[in-house]
Amino acid sequence: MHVTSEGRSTTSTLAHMKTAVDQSADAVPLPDASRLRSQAAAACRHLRIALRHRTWTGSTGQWAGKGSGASIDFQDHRPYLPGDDPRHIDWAAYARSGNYIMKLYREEVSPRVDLLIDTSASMHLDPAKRDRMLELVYFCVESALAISAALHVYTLGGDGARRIDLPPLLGTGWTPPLEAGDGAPAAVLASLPLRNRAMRILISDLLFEGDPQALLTPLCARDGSAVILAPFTPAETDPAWNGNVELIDCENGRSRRQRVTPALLARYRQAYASHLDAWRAQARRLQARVARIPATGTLAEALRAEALPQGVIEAWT
Amino acid sequence: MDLIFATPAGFWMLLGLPAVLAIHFLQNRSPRIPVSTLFLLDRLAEEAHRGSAFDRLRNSAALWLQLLAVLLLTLLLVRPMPLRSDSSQAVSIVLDNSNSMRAFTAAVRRALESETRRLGQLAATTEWFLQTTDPARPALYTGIDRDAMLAALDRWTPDSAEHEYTAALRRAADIAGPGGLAILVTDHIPEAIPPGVALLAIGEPLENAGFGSLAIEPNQDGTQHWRATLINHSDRPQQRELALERDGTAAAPEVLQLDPGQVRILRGEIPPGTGRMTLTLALLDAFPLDDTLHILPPRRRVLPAQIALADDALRDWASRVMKAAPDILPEAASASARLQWIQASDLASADTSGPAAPHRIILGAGPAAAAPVTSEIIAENNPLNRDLAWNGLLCSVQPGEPPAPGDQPLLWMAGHPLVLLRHRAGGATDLHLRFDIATSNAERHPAIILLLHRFIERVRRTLPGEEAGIVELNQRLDLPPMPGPGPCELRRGIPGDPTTSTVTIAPGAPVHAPADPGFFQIQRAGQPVFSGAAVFTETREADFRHAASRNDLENHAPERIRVHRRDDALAPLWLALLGLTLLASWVATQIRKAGGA
Repeated sequence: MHVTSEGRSTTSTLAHMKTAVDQSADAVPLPDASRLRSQAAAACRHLRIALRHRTWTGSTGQWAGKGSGASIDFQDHRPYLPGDDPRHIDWAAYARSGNYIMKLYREEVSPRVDLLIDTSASMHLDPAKRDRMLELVYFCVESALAISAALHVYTLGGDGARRIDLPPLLGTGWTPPLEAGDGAPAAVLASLPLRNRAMRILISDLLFEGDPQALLTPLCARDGSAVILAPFTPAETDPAWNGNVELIDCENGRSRRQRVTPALLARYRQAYASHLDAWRAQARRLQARVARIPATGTLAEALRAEALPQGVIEAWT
Repeated sequence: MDLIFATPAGFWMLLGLPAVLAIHFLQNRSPRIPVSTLFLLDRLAEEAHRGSAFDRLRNSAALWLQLLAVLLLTLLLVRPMPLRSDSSQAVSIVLDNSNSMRAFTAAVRRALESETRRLGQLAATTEWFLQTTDPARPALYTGIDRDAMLAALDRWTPDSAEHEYTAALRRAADIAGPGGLAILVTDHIPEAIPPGVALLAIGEPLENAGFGSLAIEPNQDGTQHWRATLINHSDRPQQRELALERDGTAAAPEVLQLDPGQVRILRGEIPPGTGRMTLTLALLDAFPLDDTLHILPPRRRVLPAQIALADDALRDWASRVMKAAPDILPEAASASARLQWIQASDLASADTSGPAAPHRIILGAGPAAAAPVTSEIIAENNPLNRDLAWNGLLCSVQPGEPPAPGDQPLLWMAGHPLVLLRHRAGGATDLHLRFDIATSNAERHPAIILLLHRFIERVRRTLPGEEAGIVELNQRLDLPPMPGPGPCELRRGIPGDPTTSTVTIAPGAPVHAPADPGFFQIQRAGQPVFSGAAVFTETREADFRHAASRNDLENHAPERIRVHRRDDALAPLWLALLGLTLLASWVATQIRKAGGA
């Protein structure tokens, strides 16, 4: 597994993607990146990724860090030790007690944010889902930049991960690449150089087979804080299949002839819910958070539906 | 079964069922739906996935309607025809009784079992007449029980020589009547058969080789030899092993090679004192009748005769006539003679009384009472002069006393008996030629010679004693007179052999040789009167190169069906249903297309 750095992505990337689905008849239109980014920016005026629930480490910044620093927020007193900066001796305490007491202030840091984007074919299957994925990317980027976080962006595909530089990402012509593969990013994620104590945000529909722990463990490793934003469409949660259909797996092109009955459809819905419940349960054990983001409605409405009540994002003014 | 189909070929329409299914399989493609993932469905619906190919058909109304349309169309094409409850038919089956049919009795059984089963379904009641082409034989079966008819067929053994059977076929056609069917069962295809008779030929070419004839001939030294022909009736070389057995002693077998169609003559001596000989061909073929030849040295009774003619010319002529007849002792003593030639003028001095009085041939007329007259000859119907032509006989009849009661005139001229047969007291018979032989051309006229030979042979047959000879299969036998009261029996096999079988012949019934080759003996009142060897020498019956098969019953089936069946009254309903089904199928297809669009 390897990580490559992508200087600039073009709109022709999508046209050259290896896709298992023959979509020549109804090709997915290219996203309007500027419109989506403006909608993400609008959502960021009131919402952002929740960062208050913990302390952070990182370079000097404006966010309360875990250690002591040079901010004006008092943190603690402790006895003076040789080597301490004498400027931080609390002389008033020395007057009262006769001992050198150090007055410590909270450190101000810039949080580290690793944004991981699942660009498998299933994320591009529906234009609404793809647009919602792109809006979430812009929303996360805007939220990170708003707090001066150290942001790293990766795309996860079947054949590895790619590092995305911010300038092309923030340009007007960037579109998420369509990656070939079976849509299981766990192996790719384990080899990524995720930073210590960073916030890891994964944007994925989680529609791949495998143990959630295999993906969540590397996502939460090295004291990381994991958040999963899972966009979905009604066609996935409540498909309208009926009768004899030939279902094509967009990830690998596998075909399946199936007679769909109402009973089978009900069992499918139950299986879909159980699949997500398994992800939530595993996420709770690893103190990660999962929020499903519907592809319908505006981004703000979608974020308020589940992500905001679960504390994945927070409101701010 | 009371339902048959007038045109069974219509069942080919059922091939439309798989055709419709194939068309629907090709046309009814499922919509292709791209989905994010299939692993959730894989866990759920493995069984449904496997059965989906059949489930796809289950929901297509157009498919079911089109399948129903195919079935209805098939029903209309095959034309089911119910049986009329009051229908009846007569089926008259004539079996070719020729010996050649023995090679195909099993095939006849199989063919008739299947054909009669099918024919029996054509009418509610079928009356079966099973008979042979031999007009002298009674019918084998008459009735409505088919199983009993087949049982009678099992008991049938063809045993006739080649014969004409047109009359038997005409009679069978008359029995069947216009609503019935007459069937000729044979092993070849006749050149012509009477109208109204269907042919059921079940023969096939066979490679047969066997004996064709047998004769016992005298040698110069008084001994005898046998001469037989061995014929290869096939178009390919044949090999047979010939074995000879004489009075229970078998000689070393000899291998014979026969070219295609070869007729090979076999000859062998009959040593003095030989009782019975048997020639057998090993490697038996499908026709065993001609594979065995039984040889029995013939023995005939000798007729002692006396020529009591004073006229030398007549005496010389009578001697020549007697010499030409077989088994005659011409110079017998007067006391032992059983046949006597005498002139009419000497009748007064002849002794005609007593049980041992001889039969007589009387030449000339009695004392003349009127002038002889000449006129046309009129012949009576009598076995002695049957088929004889008297046109060339030039003679004059001497009018005399009229025939006495019991006399049998054989020829008439001008109202007077020209040749007369008179039965005397004591059983003797006189053949009286009542014209002057010297002034006629009787000495050179063949009819007179044949008439005299017939009379002589008739007299010879009345001699008591045993004869022996070789006869054809089933040949009618002329036996000596009964030695005394008692039953007449036919014993097959060699006398003294425990395996012999005995058949009692009804009094007065004709006696025939056995139908199978072998030795036999006729006994009357416990006394043997004839020992014989029955042999098969019908070479035409043994030639199976022209045997063939043909079944004309199928050609008569439609006619039988029309007579005994009625058309399906529901046919218009099936036709209407077919139209509705096709219309509904079209509507269903349009709805499906609209839904798909």
